[in-house]
Amino acid sequence: MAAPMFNVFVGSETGLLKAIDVNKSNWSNLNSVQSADRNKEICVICWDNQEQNRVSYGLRNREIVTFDTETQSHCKPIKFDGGKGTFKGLAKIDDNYITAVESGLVKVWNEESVISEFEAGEKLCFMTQNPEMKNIVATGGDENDLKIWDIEKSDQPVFMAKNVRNDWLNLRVPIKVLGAAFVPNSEEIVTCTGYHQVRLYDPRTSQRRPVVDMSFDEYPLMSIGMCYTQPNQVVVGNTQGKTALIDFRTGKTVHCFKGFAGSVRSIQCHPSLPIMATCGLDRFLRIHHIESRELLHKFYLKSRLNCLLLSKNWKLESLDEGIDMHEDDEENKFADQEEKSEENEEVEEDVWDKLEVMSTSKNKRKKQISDGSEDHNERDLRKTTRNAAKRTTREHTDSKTEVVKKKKK
Amino acid sequence: MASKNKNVVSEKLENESILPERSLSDIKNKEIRKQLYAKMRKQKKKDKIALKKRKKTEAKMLGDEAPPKQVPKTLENMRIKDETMVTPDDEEVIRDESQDEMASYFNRESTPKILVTSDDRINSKTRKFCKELARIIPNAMTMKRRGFDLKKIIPQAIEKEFTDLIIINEDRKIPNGMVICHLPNGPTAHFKLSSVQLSKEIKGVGEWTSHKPEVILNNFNTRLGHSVGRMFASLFPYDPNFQGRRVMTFHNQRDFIFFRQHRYIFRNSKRVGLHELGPRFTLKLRSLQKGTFNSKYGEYEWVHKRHEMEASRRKFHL
Repeated sequence: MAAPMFNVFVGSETGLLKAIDVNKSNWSNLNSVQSADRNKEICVICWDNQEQNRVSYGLRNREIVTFDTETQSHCKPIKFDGGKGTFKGLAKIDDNYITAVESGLVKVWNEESVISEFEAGEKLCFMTQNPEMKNIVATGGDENDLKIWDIEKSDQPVFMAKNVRNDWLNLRVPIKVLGAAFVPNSEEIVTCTGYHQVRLYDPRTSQRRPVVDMSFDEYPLMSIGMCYTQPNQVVVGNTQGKTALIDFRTGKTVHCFKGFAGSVRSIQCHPSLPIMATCGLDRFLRIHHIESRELLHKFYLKSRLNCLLLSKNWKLESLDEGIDMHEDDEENKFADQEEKSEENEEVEEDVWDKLEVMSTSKNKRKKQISDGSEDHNERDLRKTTRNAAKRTTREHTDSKTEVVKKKKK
Repeated sequence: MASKNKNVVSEKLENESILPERSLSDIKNKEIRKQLYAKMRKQKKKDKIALKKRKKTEAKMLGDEAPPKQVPKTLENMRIKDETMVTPDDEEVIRDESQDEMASYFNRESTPKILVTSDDRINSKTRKFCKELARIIPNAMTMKRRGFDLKKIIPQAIEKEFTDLIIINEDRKIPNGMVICHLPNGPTAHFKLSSVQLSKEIKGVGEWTSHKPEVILNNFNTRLGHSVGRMFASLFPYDPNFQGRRVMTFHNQRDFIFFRQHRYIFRNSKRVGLHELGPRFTLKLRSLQKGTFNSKYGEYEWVHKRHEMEASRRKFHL
């Protein structure tokens, strides 16, 4: 019998790696329960290879273990040294690991040698890799603002964020970046903070301060996940288990998901399907449909959960899409879909251009934050959001001309 | 003419038979209504007793073939199935619990030392309640809050080797909240506190002895319940003095935790006598937070959300 097809891998506080087969709605521990130990708490997790049949995870005692889903076996743990504190980020580039530890040391290494290393600042809280450009990583932490690094030229960050202006009492706004997600097809990046802000940075501009700064609820936002199927939307979760879909262009909450009892530690969305997986301290893995907002699955996994990894291979009969994806053609399909959607958008754009401008008596003025200080009326606002995905693919200069075009109208 | 009258009478009779029986509440005369009502009640009672008697004799007659006794439906026995229910042979939970923050107590590596404090500026009832709590828990002491921040108290308490911190909150001169913070690494549980009765307010309350008490934890069956139960257990010394026959009960029923203290006596091989020692109070879990007290930046393991979680009356969390 072939190895079971696991869709989700979850790392727990007890050091157990859990694999879930969502369609058959069963799950199992991949390492033995007798070996469960708090010192082997799984802090970070990532795919070991592009085919997604090997999973690497970092433990509290600074070991990295790889699990092969085909042979169903663990490799010998690799010890990591350097820096202080636990792992805060793990990624794979070619055959090398990129690891970040709490003291700020980011290291690119493999079993034999260290390729490069750099300091990303103290009290590091996270390190994430850009899924499109594997050599780009983002770091941030407590009093350590967002930095984007190119690991090939690691002596200086590519982008260094600047703190926002003082508040209305002229007091400094504290910094605590807890997570970041790269916007697909663009260089933009969205972060969530310990002071319940969601911020959008655009490294293409000369502005180092966030382009959009908004807040959600009043508790620290622990995790963030980019929503790939809907343009300009991210999912964030806070320490009280409030999880929401947020539009980072308009700065508004689109939807609040229900049923969470405890802090959300990790959120991940599927790259091509409208599916979101969340796990956290309430010991549940939840899988939601982003468009219908429905809770599709819920698994009680017995331990507090730290991090999760969503597989590309997914089969959902209940969805309208009903796409049965397999490892080989998945990538191509994804690319095809993207192209198609781009074409569609172009057609759509033409339609919008042809439309006459209607003059409405209620000419609501709304501030479009993302384009700096330009004001648009409501129709334009709708249009800009519609075009947003497309605009991100263009050069920034292009988007500027677009704005000018709109102004002329 | 006469025949016509007859017709009318017969019609009237027919109408009467169609009409429903007259309700007692339609009777305007209060005296008569009262009498009739008492009569009705009496009759109902009589019928009920008769029915019971009949059923009993029937059951005796039938012997083993008698229909099974009906069990009343309650919220507890109609409880929605909880997947987090802990079975005693669940190895993962056992491993998890053997390494959690309370494990050092259960491994007998630490002895409980408790600090009871309260809100700033409290009234007499809360003050008395704090004192009573410190009295019934062995190795506990009270301290005035004196306006100190909890986040400043906690490191000092850890330094002085306290294992738990209990904070009583007061509102409108009545104690209404309890925070139990396990030291040094948490967790912190926040309870709603209600129906506080001090020993003096309970009739026929017994004299208190300083023996180490036994602790009974009832119905803490889910994973969350386990965590909370372990927190309660770790407030009291591990080895009770059975000689003292003093017992503390934390009884969970429909997510409300009832606290009672008794002294028991074995009257004979079958009967046990209980003598309540007081105080009494009721707790309801509001949240369980990881780490020591930090309500703003702390991470919550479980938060009670009224509108989301109380949709079903048959769903319980502990």
